[in-house]
Amino acid sequence: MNSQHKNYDVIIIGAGHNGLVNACYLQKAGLNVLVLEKNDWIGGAAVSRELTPNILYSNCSYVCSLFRPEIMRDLELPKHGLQIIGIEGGTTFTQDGRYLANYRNYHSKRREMARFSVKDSEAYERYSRDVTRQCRFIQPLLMRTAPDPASFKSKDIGEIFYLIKQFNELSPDQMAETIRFWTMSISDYLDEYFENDVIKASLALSGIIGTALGPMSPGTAYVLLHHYMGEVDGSIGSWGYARGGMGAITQALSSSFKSFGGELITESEVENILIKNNQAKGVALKNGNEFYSSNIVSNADVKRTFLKLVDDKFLPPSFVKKVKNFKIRGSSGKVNIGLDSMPDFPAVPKGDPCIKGDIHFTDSIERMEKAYDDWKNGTWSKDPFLDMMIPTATDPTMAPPGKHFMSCFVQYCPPKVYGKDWTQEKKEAFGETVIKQIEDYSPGFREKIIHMEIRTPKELEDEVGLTEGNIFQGELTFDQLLFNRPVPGYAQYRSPLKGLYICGSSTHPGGGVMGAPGRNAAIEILKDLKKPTSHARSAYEVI
Amino acid sequence: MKKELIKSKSNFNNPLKKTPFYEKFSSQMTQGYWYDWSGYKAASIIQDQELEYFAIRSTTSLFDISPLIKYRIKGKDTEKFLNKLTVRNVILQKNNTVQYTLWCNDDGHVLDDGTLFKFSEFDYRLCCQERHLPWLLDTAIGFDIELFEETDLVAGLSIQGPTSASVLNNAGLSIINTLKPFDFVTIKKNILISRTGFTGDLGYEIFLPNQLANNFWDKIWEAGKYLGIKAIGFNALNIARVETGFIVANSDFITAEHAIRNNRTRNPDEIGLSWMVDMSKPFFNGKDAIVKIRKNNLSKYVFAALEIDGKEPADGAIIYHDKKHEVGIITTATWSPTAKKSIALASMKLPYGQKIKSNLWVEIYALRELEYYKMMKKVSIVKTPFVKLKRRTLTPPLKN
Amino acid sequence: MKSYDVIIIGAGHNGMAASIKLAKTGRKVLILESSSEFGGMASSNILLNDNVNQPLPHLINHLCSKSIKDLDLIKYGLKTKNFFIPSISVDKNQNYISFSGSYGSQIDGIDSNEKANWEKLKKRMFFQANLLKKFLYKSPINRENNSLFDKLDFLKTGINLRIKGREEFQEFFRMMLMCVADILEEEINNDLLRGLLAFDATLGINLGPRSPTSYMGLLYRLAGEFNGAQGAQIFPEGGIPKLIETFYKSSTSAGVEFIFKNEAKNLIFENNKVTGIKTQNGEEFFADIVLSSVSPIKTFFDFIGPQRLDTGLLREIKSLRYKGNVSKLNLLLNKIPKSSFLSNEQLSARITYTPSINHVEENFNPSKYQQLPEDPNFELLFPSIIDETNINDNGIIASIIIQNTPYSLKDGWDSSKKLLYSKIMLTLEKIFPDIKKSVLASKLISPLDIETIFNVPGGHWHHSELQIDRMYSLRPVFKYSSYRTPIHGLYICGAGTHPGGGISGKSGINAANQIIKDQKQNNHYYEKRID
Repeated sequence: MNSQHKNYDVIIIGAGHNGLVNACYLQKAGLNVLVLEKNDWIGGAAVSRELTPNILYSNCSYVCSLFRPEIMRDLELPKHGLQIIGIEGGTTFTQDGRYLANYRNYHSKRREMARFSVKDSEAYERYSRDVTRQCRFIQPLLMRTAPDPASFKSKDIGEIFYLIKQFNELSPDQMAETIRFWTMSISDYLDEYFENDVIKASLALSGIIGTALGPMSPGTAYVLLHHYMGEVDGSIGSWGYARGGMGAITQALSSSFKSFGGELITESEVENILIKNNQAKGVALKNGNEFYSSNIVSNADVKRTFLKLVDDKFLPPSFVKKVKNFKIRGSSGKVNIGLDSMPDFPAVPKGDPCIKGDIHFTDSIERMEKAYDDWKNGTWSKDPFLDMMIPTATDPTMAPPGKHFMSCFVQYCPPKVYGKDWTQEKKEAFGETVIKQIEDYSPGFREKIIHMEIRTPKELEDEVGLTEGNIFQGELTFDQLLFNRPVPGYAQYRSPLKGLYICGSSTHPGGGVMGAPGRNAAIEILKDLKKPTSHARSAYEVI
Repeated sequence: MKKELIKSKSNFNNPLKKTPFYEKFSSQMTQGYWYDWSGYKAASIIQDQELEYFAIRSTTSLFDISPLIKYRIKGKDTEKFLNKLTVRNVILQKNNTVQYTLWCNDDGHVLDDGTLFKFSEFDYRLCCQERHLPWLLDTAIGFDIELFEETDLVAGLSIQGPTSASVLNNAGLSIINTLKPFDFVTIKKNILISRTGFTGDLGYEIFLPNQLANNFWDKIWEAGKYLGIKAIGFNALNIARVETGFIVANSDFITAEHAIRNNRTRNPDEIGLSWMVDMSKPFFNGKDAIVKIRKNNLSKYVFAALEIDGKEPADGAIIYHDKKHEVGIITTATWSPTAKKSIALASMKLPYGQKIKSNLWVEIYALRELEYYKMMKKVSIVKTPFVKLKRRTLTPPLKN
Repeated sequence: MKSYDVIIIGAGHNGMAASIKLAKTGRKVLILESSSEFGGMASSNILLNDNVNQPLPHLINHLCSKSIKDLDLIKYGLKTKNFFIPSISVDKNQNYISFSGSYGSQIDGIDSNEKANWEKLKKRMFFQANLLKKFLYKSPINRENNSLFDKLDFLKTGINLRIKGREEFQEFFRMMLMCVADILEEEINNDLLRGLLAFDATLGINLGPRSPTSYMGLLYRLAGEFNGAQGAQIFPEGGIPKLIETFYKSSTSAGVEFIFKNEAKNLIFENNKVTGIKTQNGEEFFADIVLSSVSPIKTFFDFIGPQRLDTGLLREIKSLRYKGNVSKLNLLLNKIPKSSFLSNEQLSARITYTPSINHVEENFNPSKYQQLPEDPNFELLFPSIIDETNINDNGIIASIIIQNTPYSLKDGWDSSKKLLYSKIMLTLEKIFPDIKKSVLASKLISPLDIETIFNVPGGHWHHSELQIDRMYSLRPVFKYSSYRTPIHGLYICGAGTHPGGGISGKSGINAANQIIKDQKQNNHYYEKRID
């Protein structure tokens, strides 16, 4: 057995964005950090890959909004080339040939909605006020470690009082609103504001993206919030593209990491984490190498970390059971397409920027919910919900002039079809379902395809290592949020084993390319190692 | 319907609509100071803000009020509906008069203020700053009325200033001579003339079908040729309205459906409009809450009109008591060219501004060539209007 | 002039419960009922044929000892069978488990491993339900009731929870908003048992077992108890009509006056203060307090009227989800049906057709789109077999409650009833091969029928949807969750108020307590004022 005797202060498993954020903060604090990545590329699910010559694909995550500006500043990511560009539009096509566009301009947006319902176009004002209130409530919590309510430590009690104080600052009516918001389905929530199906559908979609719930499931209003609480340059709820694709984020992180003196090794898949006397000792790689450190941070999800990388015998059975019970459900697939030219959407007038943003073909909540029913039955949706984008319409650096990369996020798609593994045939049928839906609204679309990559949750799991291919590393239901994420009692990035930490999206505050879990975990680790944390600024104040 | 929707134009390239008077104003505009008034292009300044102000106070000014949101309410239960919606009693309002009014939400917090034109007990027009269709339609549940927005159908022009009556007379509209303040008259071709305005001066507002706008303008312009008629933008008007002590929604108070933060909403008592609330009429929106607020003294703020020492404008300045404790904020401030004073409207935390009216100061930061002059100026609480003009109410109006 | 201290609208169990509490304090109480019978949705005005009727509910699981004591029900003749009604969960292949005692203290048909799993889960659920139970008997905390004293209950519950240990504490906060399916799949393996629990958690509300927050439905059920036996379902001797009669007797003995067939039509109020009620036939009754036990939709829209409601409140009332999804099928059989696999004794159980979680979930799916389920889940009870006193010459009654049959159907109820009936019969025949031949009469009551028969908008069991976002302080709406309304002196106490459904009289008792408290304190709320 080949072992490497260089001693590291910390070894991080996985070079996803959270792993890299974590690595940067630790390295910047003066620790000696090693990041191990199993693939020959880095970035996990935030990557830009040239899957066909000259076209870069954001083939996993495809838009960015949640990535915290505080982290970008702390780690000097702009200096390392990261730029986030705001998205210009967005549209929902209807089955009867109409479209509802979404623009950045307030009045343009209002008038668009007014084409479907004047009342709704004005009700949007109240709706967005109420959702903004919820965002403002949640935002300060993202960059804090969740307290353990069962603990009597002064730190936890203090943090609980902070939460209570935050909540108490709301008026009684707003408290009631907040409780309702967190427990309602997005469908019921929207019914309280809007009357038009298309408008409701265009707003409901944020309530289901990436989650194994339908728009009529309670709890989806919170999922909507999770997508809204991000910001691009202070405009809450708006989304952006990373210039050069989502890989630009992880490239900047890795460059920042290296500039602080960190070491990153690719093609090094960790076989298991070495444990001795209840204390992490190092990692053993598939290729036989071993690296030693008494602090191991796993960027993998909680299931992969504790059920695959750590031997059961080292962990308390009750903890293992809780991890097994953690819900990670693959519910979405992706079809990534290289295009010869920009697709036509005859419903939209020429030059309208709404197709530069997110494009949807699901015009009613009922269709979304039916798509979810298919998934519950064990198969992919026959009339899926697509969140489609053409980043190259905004960012010319990703493809040669005239050529385009199109990202289709597809909901719902199970990790197994009727309990059986995906086959090539099924995969193609799944891709065909998607192409067909697009073609209904964009005649001649099929002819423009140069290259296509179909990704089911299985590919996402095999390649990136996300259990069941769930993009959030775990469902965003209330039982798995805050102090319950990933499991009660271990929501502070630590594990039952000394020196073993987790920093992926399985932890608070959860998924989306946010970076906050990695940063929060770094702070906890630094506290354990009695190192300064002053280089990690606290969350920008929400006023 | 479906076809029309399919063909409809993209909304991205025309976020701001043009009003029927747009061509008239833009042809005189020299610098292109436009702003967004409820989704319409409206002028801030046409040529020169000061001269435009003096047109209001010494000759005649023309201001485009087409972007005012206008709702028409008709039907059997119109008065019942309006009495539920607003805090004043519309039954007491006479036909062909205008009522300044406001409406509240459940908590007694102000949703908006506006003017109500009564054609008959079954036909009203409500003009306001903001769009309120969902609130109005939800309030209308249980009432037999028809309610629709007519903003895009009706153009509006405000003709204000001491010579305005003469201009209208020159234009053949001598019918206005009998109008008392808040009266209106509808003449042929559905042109409505009311003796109202936002300037505290002699003045009239005209509402007319869009297609008549251009001709009407030409007629008035011609009639005012020798009477100093001038097209003006909002900035000039804004000075005049502060001199009169009029408040503007979302400038002097935050409307209840917009406020994101706690404690930003205000009840009528807190914005100086308690006189409007008619507690003797039956139920209206917010009545239960206002009863409670008044009974338990729950109001926390008071509206105040301030005169400030010196001549520096004090927009957004913090008001202090004894130069130490923050007790309020100035919502709008201006130099009054007529009164030759620095004046302001403010929101103050009780009991300051009501029981404690002395030893009040504002902190002004005046930036002059990249250096701040930091000043503590004494303020005194006064009664509005800052500028009171007899000609405003004289009937028949003074003519020049 | 007919003058009372309190007029109660509706002679349902909540109305009667409130009347008993109020009359006992010496108040002169009148109950106005639109139909000819007391009992509201539990009344027996559903006739199967000329001689036989079977009310909507057939079992009780929420009539707590406190209600029984408070309302003197034993004194007025409440007797129950001396056993708890077991449940038998069956599938179409003659598999079944029998679930007996107070909520599954004994289960037959599962192995010992599974029994241990169940015991563990049950213990935890009972503990959690118990914590919540005490909140059922109180006015919720809200804008008006929010003194430190009121908040103390939360602190006490928190402490009780914490001293139970770290594990229970954590599990409580984790499980509270989960879907029942996840919890069941974590802990137990038997499909029939899971199916039964999934069914119990979601019966009567518009959620499937995979909808988050559906676990709360199960806890709600378990918060009910009988003589200290948590989650016990009992059958009152003589059936539900007899139980309702004890409410009535207790009420009349306390001096409450009943007027039947006289529907309250308009509230009379002046100066924002209620003074009485005008009925459909023009009579007027006067009182300082009017307590409405009908649906909040009806109270706010019909009695108060949209014109008198603040627009924000009106919006909230308008957005209440009040459409029911439970139907009732009553059958009259000429003989005790013979089951191909259940013994005759087992026919005195509640038989549920709940083969698995997925089955319950798949049944829920079409209801979202106003369609009927393919293979409906239901629970079946033979009241005449459980209780000899219930047997009559006319035949044997089968009382069936069918889940996921929405109020509004895309195909309309008229044409769908036959279909639903045949679907149920298809399943029944798998259990009782000869049942079809022995049906003498049948009556299917859809939520739409419930609306018309019982005057409940939407035909919802709980008057309005009993989900977390409309529970406790949020029921029926946050501002009026202490049984009060914007009209001074008008109170509400139906199932649409906290704590909601189940024949328990709790909402009525809580509302009565609130009235007594308000009058005693001469609460600002109750004060007269001039408008």
